[in-house]
Amino acid sequence: MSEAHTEVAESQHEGGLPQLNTATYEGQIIWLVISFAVLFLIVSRLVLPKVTKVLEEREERIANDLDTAERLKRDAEEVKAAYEAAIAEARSKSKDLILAAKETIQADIAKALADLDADLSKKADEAEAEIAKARDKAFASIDAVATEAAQDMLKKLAGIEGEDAAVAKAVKSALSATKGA
Amino acid sequence: MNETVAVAHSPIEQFKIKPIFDWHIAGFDASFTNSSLWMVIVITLTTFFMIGGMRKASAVPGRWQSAVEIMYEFVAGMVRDNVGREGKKYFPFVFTLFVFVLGCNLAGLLPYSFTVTSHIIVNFAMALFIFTGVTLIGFFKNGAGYLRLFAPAGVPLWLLPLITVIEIISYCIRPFSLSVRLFANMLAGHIMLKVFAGFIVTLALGAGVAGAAGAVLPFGVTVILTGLELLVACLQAYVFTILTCIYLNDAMHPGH
Repeated sequence: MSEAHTEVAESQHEGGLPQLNTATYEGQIIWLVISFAVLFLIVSRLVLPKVTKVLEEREERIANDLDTAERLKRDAEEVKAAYEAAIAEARSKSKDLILAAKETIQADIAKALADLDADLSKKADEAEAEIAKARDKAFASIDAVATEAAQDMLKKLAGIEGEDAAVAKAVKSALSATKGA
Repeated sequence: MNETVAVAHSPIEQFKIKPIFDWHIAGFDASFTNSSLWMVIVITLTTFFMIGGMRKASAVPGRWQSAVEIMYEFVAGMVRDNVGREGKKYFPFVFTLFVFVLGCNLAGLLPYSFTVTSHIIVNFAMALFIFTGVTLIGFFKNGAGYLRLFAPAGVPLWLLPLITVIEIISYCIRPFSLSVRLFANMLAGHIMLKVFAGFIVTLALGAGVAGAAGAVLPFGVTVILTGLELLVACLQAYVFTILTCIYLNDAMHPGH
């Protein structure tokens, strides 16, 4: 066998590509099979399961984190919606309150104005009635004064003791003529 | 003397399989070689990278854990987009494939290292395994319906024989195209790197002061090529993996 080997070595020295020296093929194939098989076992039993596991775990974790983020986002959106609803409610409530207050105030004002009007017209009526009374009274007293003055003038100017009734009648008609004018 | 220098600088020297210790078991030559060593180094480093990144496995990842997770998501996305839900079962295999090819491609860029994927037989073994597996899955899932793959819907009847022949050929060369693509990229890239790096040494040691000054040029090219090879290493790992996904998709949904 060692003889064969020297032959191999010699044939290589003859020149030509060492790749074409078929005597080396057997050994190369045997060692290729051995090393490839060993590497295959290492890769398939030790390396790949580990890498696969790490990648799967990472994927799972990322998916979980994304889920959590999604959930938190939903929560935040719910809170936001609730907040907005509360704000809108408060706004409409305050509007109602303002409206109600306005109405009350307007009603109060209207009532006060009406009261004032009524009061004023009552006072005006009273004053008018008083004025009328005073005027009537004045007119009545004018009658008596005019009759008296007319009797006095008759007595002094004509020396006639005028009949009271006639004088009073004349005065009255004169007065009513004046008044009528 | 001159010859030894030439041999040492030969751009294909880096692809040589050197036994570290002989190991023959049950008639098989399972000698531990530099290729085997770098396979073991690659699976050790990738295991360290993945286990180390996930040792704390927290929900909020650090930088290291993020790197592992990005790789996971990257391959998972490939499987999801190209195979669909049913592809989940094959995700561990596709992931291992991506990590292994990427690890071998990248480790090959280290100085004095060995590029496992620059050997056609390694790529072909993987491609053949994928091809066989996909074909079995295809027939297992669809029965004879898997043959629909070779007769796409909507092809005119007179064109069908031609198309079927082409489809069958393109299906059968899959293990070759898949493995040769990766092999050729690794081979060409590393030969180019070696050639330009060789120019630096030759110029710097052999052509005096002017040569030493001129060595800056291949040095710059080597730097740029290293960047390019970094890209190619990742890209070819991606291509190898995504084609596996596309083949798997054919097995799941042969109706195009």
